[in-house]
Amino acid sequence: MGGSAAAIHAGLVAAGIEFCLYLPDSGTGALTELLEADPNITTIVCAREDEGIATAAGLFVAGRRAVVVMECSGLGYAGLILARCRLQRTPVFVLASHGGIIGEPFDYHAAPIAAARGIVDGLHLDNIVLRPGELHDETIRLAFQTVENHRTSMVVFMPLYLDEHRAAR
Amino acid sequence: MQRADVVDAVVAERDDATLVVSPGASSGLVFARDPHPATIHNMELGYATAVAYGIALGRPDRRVIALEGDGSMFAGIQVLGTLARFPVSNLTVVVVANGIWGTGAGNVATTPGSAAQLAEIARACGHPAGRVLVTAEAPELRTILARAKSEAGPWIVCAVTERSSTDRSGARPRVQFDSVEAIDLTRRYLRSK
Repeated sequence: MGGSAAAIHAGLVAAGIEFCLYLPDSGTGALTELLEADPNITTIVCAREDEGIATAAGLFVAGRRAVVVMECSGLGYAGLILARCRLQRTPVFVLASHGGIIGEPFDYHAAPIAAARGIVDGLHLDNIVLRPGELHDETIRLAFQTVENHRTSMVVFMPLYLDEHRAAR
Repeated sequence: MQRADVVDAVVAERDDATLVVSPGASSGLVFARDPHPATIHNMELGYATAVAYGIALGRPDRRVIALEGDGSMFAGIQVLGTLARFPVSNLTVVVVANGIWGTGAGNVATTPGSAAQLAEIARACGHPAGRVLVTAEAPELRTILARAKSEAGPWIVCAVTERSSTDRSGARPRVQFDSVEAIDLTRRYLRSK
């Protein structure tokens, strides 16, 4: 997601994000590098994605703005804490790699994607899939605006093919 | 020491700290003993410390306490590693270590191990030995919690307790307001400080 990472980072900055909880993934590495280098965003590498979501929920209680970045497999771990967040109106903003259905190069990502879709669909979480050529900075800013104002969680999927069209041109 | 003694010690030394309590008996006891608004009750199994950690990260000027059961602590044990790697000085984790799951008849042992083993895991994660303490005595627990108010953490305190009637479902006080109210009261309280 090389080229799109800068736009997504810009969107997070525009949204006023102060904290990023993440687990590293090849699909999010360019973005988390930018977040790590941003002096205005505190990054925490967590041990499990559901733990990161719980910590982000605590940050919301504390009045701070947070994003959780992960491979979509992490959503598979996070059903209970995401359900609790929905119950108590504690919104969590998640950026997850994969999840775009097409363009998946390996079979072993099928289970994480299926688990992620199951959680998102089962909990009726707002979710969008970023597409190549979109204004990702504005999409991210507006997505977080809804998260904050509706107090609902949202998952933004970042497919691996986001930047492939640039390379193909 | 009984679970109620741990709750009494936490309440007595809490002052104005935000408190996140794991599910079950401890939440009911806290609610019955302390009406403090900045309290999140019955956080899901394995997540009380992680939520408290987030609050502590977001409000470094405020003290935060997580009151865990040993089953809940072991269910979310990896957070001790994160907390050691990215420590916050204003967080105290108190674990009620009675060795059983506090549900049903309250007679099923927690799988992972003892309070001493839990403390060893915390130290192995990188927490300084002087901040990972085990006690079975209520007066000593109060002394530790009083220290935690003035000396930088994070603190991991394993309180060894005997089994009690409140470990059984149906034999414990119940929280009388819901989780939405708890979140909003806590947010409002923190915003006012």
